[in-house]
Amino acid sequence: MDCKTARLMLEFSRPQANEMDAAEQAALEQHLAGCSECETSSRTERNIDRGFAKAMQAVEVPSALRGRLLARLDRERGDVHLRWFGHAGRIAAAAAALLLIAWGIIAWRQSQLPAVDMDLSWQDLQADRVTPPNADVIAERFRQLGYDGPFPRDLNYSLLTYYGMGNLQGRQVPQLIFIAPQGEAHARVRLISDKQFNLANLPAGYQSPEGYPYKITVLRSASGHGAELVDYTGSDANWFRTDGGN
Amino acid sequence: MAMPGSQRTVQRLVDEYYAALYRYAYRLTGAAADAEDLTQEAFCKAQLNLNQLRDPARSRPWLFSILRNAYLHRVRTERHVIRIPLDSTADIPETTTEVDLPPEVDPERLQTALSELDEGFRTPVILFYFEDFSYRDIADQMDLPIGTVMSRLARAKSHLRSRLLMTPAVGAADTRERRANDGL
Repeated sequence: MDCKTARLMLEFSRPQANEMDAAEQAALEQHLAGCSECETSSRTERNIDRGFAKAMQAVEVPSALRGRLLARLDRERGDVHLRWFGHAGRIAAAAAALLLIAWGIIAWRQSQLPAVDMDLSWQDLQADRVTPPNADVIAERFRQLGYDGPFPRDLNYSLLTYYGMGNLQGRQVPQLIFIAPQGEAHARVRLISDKQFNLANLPAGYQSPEGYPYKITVLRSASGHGAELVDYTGSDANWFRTDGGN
Repeated sequence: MAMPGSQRTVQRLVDEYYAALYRYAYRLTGAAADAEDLTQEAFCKAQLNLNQLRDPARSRPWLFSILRNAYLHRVRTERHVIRIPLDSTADIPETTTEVDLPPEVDPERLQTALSELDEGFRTPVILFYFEDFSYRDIADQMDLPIGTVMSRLARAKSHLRSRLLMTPAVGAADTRERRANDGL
């Protein structure tokens, strides 16, 4: 190793930190042992570094610093907890407010719905009992509801228990429900018109499978613009007609 | 009441490193009040981010790094201090006078000379003379290649020698002149 390299390495060598490659360190030491000029330079470098290091570390630390630090850290920790709880509290309050608003909306909507009026229901029942609807009344009611197909007149409306609109394949159609006098049979008649359904391929009848208490049949109207789709129990599909089907 | 684990860890960090951190902060800022503020700020940040300390053996460089970042954050908003640029290509002067004993260096004059340095040169020389930081540690702290750190260190040391050893009379005069610019 020459003097120039040795001086350069001395600039960066730190024996106490042991950062130099072992071989380089050994080569440097070997050079210093044989070169008084570089050895003097090395000693000078070390002494200057020691002097600077001593001065660098000569900073008086305030005696109360540790206490002030721990107190500040305690306060900060408390503040963090407070902020956390404050944050959680705000979220909880917002959630509670939302729940309250939702509950208020539901309660308000409930309050807008009509209550069940039992007196009114009783009056309706009495009116039906005294004057049961006849074919004309029902036909007119169905017309008001939008049905303008043929209306059967040959049904025994004294056996009628219910009439109204019902669903058939997604369309609203008139339906009439009859119950036999002793409750031994019932029938539902649904009226379909050619304005709602394609009746061109309407079968003349339908053979219900055996073994079921219900049967189903279809009866085309005389005008050909409508039909009755009937499901029923009992011996036949005529017990709810005025002439018994004859 | 028993302390939670994190609180115990923070207290241990304070006990072990508060003095070293304060000295580092003092050498960075040159003012006791700023050094204490920085030390407190560093420990508060450490307490908040304790989960980032994966290896307790790295506590010291981790804390020093937090403190340096806090310092840099401050000085970025206060760029009024005049610094001596050391990134010129001038050669590093060699020490020609033989020194048989460590020289007596006045810590205040040392601080003045440090304060003249740009932070990029001041930090490595402070950490170097604290003697616990390897070149690799310093490079990691500053996120610089180790060669750059060694180069800056050589220039910073040269500056300190020129200010504190070679021309004491001029240095003393400059000290009085430059103190007005010290601090953060």
